[in-house]
Amino acid sequence: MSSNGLDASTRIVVAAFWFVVLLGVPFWWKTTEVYRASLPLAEIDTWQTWQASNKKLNKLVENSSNFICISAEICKLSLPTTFTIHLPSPWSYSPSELENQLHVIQRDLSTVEDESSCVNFPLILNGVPWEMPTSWRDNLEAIFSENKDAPTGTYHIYIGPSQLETPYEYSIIIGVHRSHILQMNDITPETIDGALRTLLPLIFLKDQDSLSQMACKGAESDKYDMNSIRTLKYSPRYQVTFSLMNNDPRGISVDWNIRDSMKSKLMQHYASLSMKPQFKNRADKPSYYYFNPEHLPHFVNSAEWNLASTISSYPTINLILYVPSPEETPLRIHDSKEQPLLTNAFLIPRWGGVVIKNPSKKALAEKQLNFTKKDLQPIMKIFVAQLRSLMGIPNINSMADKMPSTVNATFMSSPITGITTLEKDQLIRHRTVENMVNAIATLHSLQQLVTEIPKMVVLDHIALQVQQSLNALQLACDVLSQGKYTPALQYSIEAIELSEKAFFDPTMVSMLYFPDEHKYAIYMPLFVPISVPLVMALLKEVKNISKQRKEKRNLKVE
Amino acid sequence: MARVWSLLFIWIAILSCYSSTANADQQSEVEGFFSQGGHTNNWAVLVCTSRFWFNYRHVANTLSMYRTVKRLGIPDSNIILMLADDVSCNARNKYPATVYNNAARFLDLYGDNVEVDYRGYEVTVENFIRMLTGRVSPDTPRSKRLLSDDRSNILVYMTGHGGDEFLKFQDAEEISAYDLADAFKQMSEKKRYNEIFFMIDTCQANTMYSKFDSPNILATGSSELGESSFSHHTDYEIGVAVIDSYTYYNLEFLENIDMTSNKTLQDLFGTYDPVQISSHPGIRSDLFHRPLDKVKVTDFFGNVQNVELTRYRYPLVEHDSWTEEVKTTTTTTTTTTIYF
Repeated sequence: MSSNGLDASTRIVVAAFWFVVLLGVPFWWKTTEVYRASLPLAEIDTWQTWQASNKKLNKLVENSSNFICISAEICKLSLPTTFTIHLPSPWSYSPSELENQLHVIQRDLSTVEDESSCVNFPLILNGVPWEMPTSWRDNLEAIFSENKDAPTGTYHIYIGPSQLETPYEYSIIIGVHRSHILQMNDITPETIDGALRTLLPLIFLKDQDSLSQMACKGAESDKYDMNSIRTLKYSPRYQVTFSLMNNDPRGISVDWNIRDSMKSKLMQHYASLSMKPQFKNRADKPSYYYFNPEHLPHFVNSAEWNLASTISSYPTINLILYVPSPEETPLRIHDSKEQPLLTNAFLIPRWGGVVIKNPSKKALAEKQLNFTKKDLQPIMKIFVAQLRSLMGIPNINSMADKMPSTVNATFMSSPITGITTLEKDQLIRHRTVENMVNAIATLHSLQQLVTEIPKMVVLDHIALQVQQSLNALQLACDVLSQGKYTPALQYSIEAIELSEKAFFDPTMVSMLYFPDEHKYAIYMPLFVPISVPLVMALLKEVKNISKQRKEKRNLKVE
Repeated sequence: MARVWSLLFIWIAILSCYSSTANADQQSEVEGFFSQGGHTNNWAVLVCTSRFWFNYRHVANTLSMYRTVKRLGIPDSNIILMLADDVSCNARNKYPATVYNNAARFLDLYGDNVEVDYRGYEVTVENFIRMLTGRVSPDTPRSKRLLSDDRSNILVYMTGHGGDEFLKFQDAEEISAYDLADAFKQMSEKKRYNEIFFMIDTCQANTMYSKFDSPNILATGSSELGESSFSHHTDYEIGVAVIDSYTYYNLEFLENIDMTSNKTLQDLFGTYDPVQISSHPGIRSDLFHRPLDKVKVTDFFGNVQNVELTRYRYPLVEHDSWTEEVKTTTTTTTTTTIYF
């Protein structure tokens, strides 16, 4: 009897231990798990596919294995442009005829539902009558200052008769704001058709190729493309540093009235740039009177010149005005054809620019060189040209040179703000698409990381930032298709900043790698000493039970 | 029939001439000097992971590399220097406030103009990985951040005590080859580099780069699996070894280079002699897309910048007529702000 009682209590004890072990294992598993908030991975995947269409499934696009066409309700990127053509009244043609003509042009020039492209560029053309004043040519300023408040992406073209018989079929003046003047020899629906078909893609829709390439090929740009090498990447702020370098302070002392120049020349439209003038005295460089282009890369002695700023982590643009010492004046730069450059300046892509200013004989004699606002003006013109290149604005002189022989295009420059509205529009479009593409790429990288490193902690606020970034992307796309570019830019900025914040969050560092032997080495001393007696006791009990059952069966049989 | 064909030939010839002149226009537009490989800036990450006086040579290694990259043009703002211990001000240093890498003591590496970004106990595996991947805490100063972009060439030099797929930090922890490969993979995902040149001088160094699998990384190490790396010589006045073999022979080559040099990495690797170095240096170039005889040493060790000549000025409003304009424009332009 007592052995039975003993057996029973042994069994209860062993069972109790095992119960605790079995209860503990799921607790241990759960508490040693890495906390991972759930991310909207599927949504990130669908954003990867820009080529969403409701038509065919599984159509692989060449050269981009990431982009598979699936039927998703994703917003297709669409950048509309609106042109209002002002034709001098009275019209010798019927309004409906004109409207039909414009519709045909609109249909032909819009790239919508194009299967190979993932961006739409819808075009809207309106024709309105224009009461042309008799001496309108004398007062072009009045025409150019009209429509200043028109929304981004809309352009007004005023068509008027040409003054004399010119060899050019079309003479167009691209204004600073949203009004442009086109002069043609005769104005009929056919000639208007020809004019619009030639001029619109040439001047206003020029950036469509680069935009669609950027949107469709993802964030991979051509490594050797000069524009992508030169243009600074998007940043919410840039820091522009003006430095005056004097090679020999004992030979000549220099000073400049840079603050006033800055305030007057580079103004409100560069609102997010913070300016900081610097004054340097010493510089070292190899001694030449002429610089060939191959020698210029070593000109900026970054190690000695201490150009970096400790104020902020934003990208810095360094604009340097270099005054050579009296021993090396005059100092010029030769181009590849051994001719001296008139501007005596060069640009360093994604870094800044340098202008070399030789002191005049008078200044050398007095050993004193003061740059007044007036002296700095030509230099400021070069700096502004360099700053525009660094921002990605194409050069107006080179654009005018590329026009075909039938077109005479004059690009007006904006003497006060340094940027025309057309250029600003192109910049806004470019940056919006760039930001959206980069935001998607960042979210995709985040997704890759999170799936590939199962031990990485993903906190709730990261999931929230990812979701907010996706929402901002959706809003940007929606608003873009309605033609509202400025809110679209703001949404795209929000999208990329949130995605970068999520990706670069300090908690997103994965646990360090431990080989499996380490894990065994840690757990074995804890669990093996306990598990050995437990397992042995369980086996003994199981053997006992099976022995007793056999005895019972034998008894029964007998 | 023959006339048709000849006409066709003439048309084709004219058209091809046209297209080639169009191309020439494109190329002649941009004048200047451009690097091969497409990078626009250079960074250097120099790490010494050893603590204690008898590891003087590791600090000397790192400071020699620091001096070389500075001499070849990389500014302090683009160099991250991590020194785990301060040997120049160590009580056992017979020549205080100096660090020499040669028994002849010609050159003081620790003279003026040295900027150490991570020093002493700040040199940890976590800080190193955070700096590489960009996941630093928001209050980190600019000098401690790696602000590289997709067109940065980065030189990563590490030295210390290491072993089979690990490198010891501060005698307290280690970084494994997997962690390093992961860090580089994250950098590659986020496009934080154009090309990386990874150089490591420790025992069994070549194992540290065996786990890399991101594109555009060129790696070299001082010794194979199972081999130790040795120091070059000892300075008996200071009492410890002052430079490691592998770094010494690299420096011999680099001291003869200046900013304008056209020597390639193939030349550098060609000077590696296992007998002299007393171990077998390794080179891993399968992830690197450019041929080594076309890669200049200054692509990684120097800071040769691309240059484009500026031909145009942008017409701005003349000085005298400024004052009237400013009154009219201030009212209209206050509302528009550009977000670049």
